[in-house]
Amino acid sequence: MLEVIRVEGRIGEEDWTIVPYPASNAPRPRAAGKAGLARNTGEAAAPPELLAGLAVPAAGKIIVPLALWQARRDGLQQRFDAGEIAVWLDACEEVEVLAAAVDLAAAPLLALDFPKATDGRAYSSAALLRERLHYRGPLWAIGDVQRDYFAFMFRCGFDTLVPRAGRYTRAQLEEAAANLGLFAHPYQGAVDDPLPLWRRVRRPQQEVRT
Amino acid sequence: MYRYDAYDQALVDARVAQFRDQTRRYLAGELTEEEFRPLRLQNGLYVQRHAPMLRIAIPYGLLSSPQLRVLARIARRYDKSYGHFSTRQNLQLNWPRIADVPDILAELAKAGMHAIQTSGSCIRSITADHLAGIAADEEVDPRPFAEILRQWSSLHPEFSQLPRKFKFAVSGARQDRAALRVHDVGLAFYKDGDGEVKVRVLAGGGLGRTPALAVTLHDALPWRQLLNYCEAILRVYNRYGRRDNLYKARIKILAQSLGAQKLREQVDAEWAHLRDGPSTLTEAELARIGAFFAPPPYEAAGDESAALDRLRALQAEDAEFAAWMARCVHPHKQPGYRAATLSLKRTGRAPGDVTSNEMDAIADLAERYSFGLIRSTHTQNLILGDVRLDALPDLWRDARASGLATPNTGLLTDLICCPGGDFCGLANARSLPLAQAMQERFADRGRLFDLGEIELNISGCINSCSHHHLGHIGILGVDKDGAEWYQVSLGGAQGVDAKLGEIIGRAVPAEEIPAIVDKILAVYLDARQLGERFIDTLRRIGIEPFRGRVYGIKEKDGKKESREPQHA
Repeated sequence: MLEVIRVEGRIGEEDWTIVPYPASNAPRPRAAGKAGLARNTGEAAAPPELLAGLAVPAAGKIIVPLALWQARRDGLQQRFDAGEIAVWLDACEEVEVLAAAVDLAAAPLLALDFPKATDGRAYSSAALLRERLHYRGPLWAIGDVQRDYFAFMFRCGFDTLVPRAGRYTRAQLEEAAANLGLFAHPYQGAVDDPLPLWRRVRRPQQEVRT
Repeated sequence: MYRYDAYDQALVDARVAQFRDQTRRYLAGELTEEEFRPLRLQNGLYVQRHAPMLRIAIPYGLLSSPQLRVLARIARRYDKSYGHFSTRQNLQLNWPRIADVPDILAELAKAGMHAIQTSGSCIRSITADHLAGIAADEEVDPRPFAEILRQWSSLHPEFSQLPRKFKFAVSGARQDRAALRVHDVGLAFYKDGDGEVKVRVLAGGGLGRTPALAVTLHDALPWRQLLNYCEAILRVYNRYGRRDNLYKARIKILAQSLGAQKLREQVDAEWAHLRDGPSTLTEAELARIGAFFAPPPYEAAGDESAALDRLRALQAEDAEFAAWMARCVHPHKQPGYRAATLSLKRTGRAPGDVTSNEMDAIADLAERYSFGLIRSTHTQNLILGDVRLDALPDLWRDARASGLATPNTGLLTDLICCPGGDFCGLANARSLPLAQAMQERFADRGRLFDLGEIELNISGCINSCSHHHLGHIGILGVDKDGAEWYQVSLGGAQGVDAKLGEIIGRAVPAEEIPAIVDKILAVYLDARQLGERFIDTLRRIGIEPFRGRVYGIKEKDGKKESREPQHA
């Protein structure tokens, strides 16, 4: 079971299993800029050797890497149709590629990976999925999901946050959830509320000097 | 200037509470060093050579007398009673304790200040022309736009973890005093033929290891689209900027690898979606923010020529006053007023350093002479922006009594210098002792004035905090087998015609630098024509005569070496 935080700080559980890439020393095009490069050079987000070593559980609800879905789609389609397969997107992969490969309207959920908390690409991916591709289903943040970034993730359109297993105690998660409303009136628009503060509320005028 | 409403106040208060909690969890071992690092950096807190360093935001270089007194008090209570103005118009404290930082931030918040995004891989505190709103050559006051950008960029969720730092600078004048072309984004506001405010958007500039001048992304952006367009730039950068190599992560590298045209196309494609969206600015919002920057209640000028005559008479009597008038007083758009620099570059003092007592004195001067407002400059000085012409002699006497009237603005001893190896954990070399040696060497007023306007920039390492690439004379500290060496470049310039300096030859040990500068200046003095500034002579005769004099018969070796990479 995955312990997750949902919008408004509700803590819950999910019976999905995230299928990661096998731990390997093989270089992965994690580098930013690679998404752009991939478009120009055709370089794959995940090399075939990496996919070859990937064990896919034969049953249960699983979230697989997009590259695996692309490579073994025929074998997985039936389970996808049954709502047992979901796809996660690497930070270096583009949502446009995801949208072309997965039927967003039929997907049970989408997950975006934060390889580390300081890699902010998934924020833009989430915003684009919501605003540009009009994805309305569950959107998960997975990977290095740290409590100090929960609020930013929700603002960008994630609705389910999955911290690394064992990273936080239940009490710590509750404390983090209780702090979600700390910034009640952010300045700028985002996915959760596209209006900037000055369109959301009436801000005071400066008194005119006499 | 801008004043916080309840929303601004609630946000900075919440930020203090958040950081207090984060610091508590860090000190309790709940947050690892690695987890805490980006959190503290985005609150301006570095861990440095001797102690933490806290960088306090002075948004676009504007602060009030009460705020400066708060900074003085904080420096007294939590530091060693002084602070350091940086080339990004911010104030750095070099000796706070980590455990005290939440309290410092709380005191700042009470005075409408913060340290949000003064460091870290995010949109940094925004800088501006230090004469914004008062410059005689200004078309559009950029301060309301700077404040709009400050709010938009503060805690922007999507752009909270960029590949690297991202610096904005703004200007609305014909002269560029904000070094727009060496920023990640430089915004030049102007009025088009129909009187409409437009923005020239420059992007991809930066210094550091790979210095680059920005390219033009948009020549005439309608001001209402400002945030939409910036959002498009940041989104392209956030998605495609490199994250595999710290030194290749700035937008300048993306601009170089894509090429200006392709970057422009990608930004335009993104902007096409965002255009006219909810962040589109309105007349009403610009007017609301603009009202905070309305001109102060100037008094009617009277006859400026009579006041000028009186000043000229005083200048004839007192050479010190004449020197100050010549160097530290600047034109103003309001008749009867001038802007005046309070120099933080007196000999024997680290450039940009200011004591708590001086901060209090400056706050008083600002209230007495300039509507209680102070401006910080990217050349590490302070400016009183709105001084009555006939009050200049009194201001000069008072400033002089506080040691703030060194008449060297724009001259060699107004040099720009980072804290260097004495404080900074990144530095290769101790730039401050070198700066002091230069100031002492050129302390002679007659010689200094005779040399005229020369920009000297000394950086302690390739991160280029002192913008040495833009110095007419740039000096860069490099590490050579554990020893401090320096590399000299010539011909850099800021402004509309910004140019990066050219390295003249191999690096030399610190003690040789003063003699090299002497040789460079000797070439200038020999070659200059009447009224020609150093940079004019350099542009006319080229770099070779300087190279030849400095490196003598080894000129060829020098040239050869200069083509090699600066760093292994």
